[in-house]
Amino acid sequence: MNIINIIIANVFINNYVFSRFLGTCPFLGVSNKMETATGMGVAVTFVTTLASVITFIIQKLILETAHIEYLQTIVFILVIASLVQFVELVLKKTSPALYNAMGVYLPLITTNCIVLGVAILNIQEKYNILETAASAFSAALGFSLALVLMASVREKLEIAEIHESLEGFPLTLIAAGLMSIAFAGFSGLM
Amino acid sequence: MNETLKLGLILFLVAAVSAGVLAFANEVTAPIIAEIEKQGSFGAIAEIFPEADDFQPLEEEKLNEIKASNNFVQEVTKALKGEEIIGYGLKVKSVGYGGDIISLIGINTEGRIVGFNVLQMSETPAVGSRIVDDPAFAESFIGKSATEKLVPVENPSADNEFLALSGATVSTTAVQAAVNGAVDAYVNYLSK
Amino acid sequence: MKISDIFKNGIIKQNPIFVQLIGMCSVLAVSSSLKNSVTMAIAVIGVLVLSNIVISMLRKVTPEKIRIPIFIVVIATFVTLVEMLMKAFMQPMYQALGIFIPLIVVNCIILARAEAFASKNSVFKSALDGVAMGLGYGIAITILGTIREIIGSGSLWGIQLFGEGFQPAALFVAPPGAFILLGILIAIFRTVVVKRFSE
Repeated sequence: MNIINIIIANVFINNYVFSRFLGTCPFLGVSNKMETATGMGVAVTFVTTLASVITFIIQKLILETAHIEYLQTIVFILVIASLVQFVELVLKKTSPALYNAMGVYLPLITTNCIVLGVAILNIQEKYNILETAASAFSAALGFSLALVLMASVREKLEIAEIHESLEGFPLTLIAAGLMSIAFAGFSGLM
Repeated sequence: MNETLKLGLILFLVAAVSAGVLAFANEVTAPIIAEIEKQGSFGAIAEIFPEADDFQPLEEEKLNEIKASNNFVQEVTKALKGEEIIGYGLKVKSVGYGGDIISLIGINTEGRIVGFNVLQMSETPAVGSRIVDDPAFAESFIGKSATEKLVPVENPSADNEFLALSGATVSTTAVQAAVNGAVDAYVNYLSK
Repeated sequence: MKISDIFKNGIIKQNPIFVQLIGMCSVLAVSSSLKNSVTMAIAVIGVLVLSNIVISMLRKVTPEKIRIPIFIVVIATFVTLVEMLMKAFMQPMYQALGIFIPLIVVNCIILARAEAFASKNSVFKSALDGVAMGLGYGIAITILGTIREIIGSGSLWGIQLFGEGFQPAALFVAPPGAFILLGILIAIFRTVVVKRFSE
């Protein structure tokens, strides 16, 4: 089943963070605490899935029929930016507590490479709308998985004693590298 | 004037200027890009069938039939000498380690593979990229049978064996799937 | 800000990759070979400088409320132009860099400089800031690319360096190697370079 293959590939075999290097900035920035990590994961999953479906529709209905495919990059990123704004507004009105908790991280989703990246990849892979939604959802799921895993590691690292030069990001990156090796083990799956 | 309207107008203006600039750039570059892409596919197939004097795409209905039954074949080109078809160039796509691998497989009318050329890939340098870097890999396909499924082995000798790249299993398997897709298309649609 | 300060800032004190840790996705992904790294750096510097210039030119007429979308449109326009140019004149390189070319538009460095510098400073200084930050990015990705290609593929710019017998450590051209090497480089940069420059 193609959709199952897509999901497994995006979460494990070609994990968007550990294999494709997308979403690295928020991955490093937000993964220090479990709470923010899960919150970010949920927000990104929602925005990514919605953005991919909307951009897919726009690509088919507008860009391809009018032969203005070269406007893809600019249209897609504007859609994503607007979507994030919209999500922020809705969140502010419906759940101020959650909005305050997420705070700074929401606008950052716009520059999260995964959102734009998977939207473009869906078109390149010539997926249909169902496959697009599955691909987007699983890509963000893989990102959330990476975030949560990293958060659990970093919370433990906080307490450990490390040489000053390695403290903080260098160690996080090395940890990410080791996790990436672990995930590479999945490549035999399909 | 209503502030939101004014803001919207400014944004629209900026977007319009941008769209205009890009439309102009597109006018200039699109033909160049189209040329290069065409060069890419016809150039490769001309190398595989040097005796051919013309190349034509396969009839649309037949191509659609093939595509309906086959996940790998993207395009089929007929290699012609005069009026006679001397072979087919099949453009196949499969998913490798770093993304899509697009290859061109040349099959002659006697059911033999006469050409294998990777057109596009983004496999890991020095690992999967050996499907391109290592000439022995492409060579291991030449002369092989296009009427049975091919398998990768360490020392290919039989009609249906090609070179396995050790340490690059994902890339090798991807190529295998694509080549066998071409074989399927040939056996079921083109050889009759 | 003095001109020399702008450069010191971009390349050392606020080096986008080694210090600020923004714009990392492309650095990790593209640095498996030196040629790809340098090409990417040139593309990023190009977009960065050009969008800094345009955004700075527009700074007095850009309403604050819609500044982010306007920045995005400007940046995306230049990225699309770079995409078109590469597709037309450097097809193989365009394919090697793949999705990371359109992704330049979400490279945090460009948006960050637009917001932090170009929207508040003169065109000349903004252009220089673009060059400085771009060089900071370029130096980082080039160093990473050089190390990864030499150790991971045994070559440099595609030219084989060592004899047949050399077994490259393929780990370094693969994702794990990128993460680990970058971590080490940041640690080195922090302790050695930044300390020396703040004295």
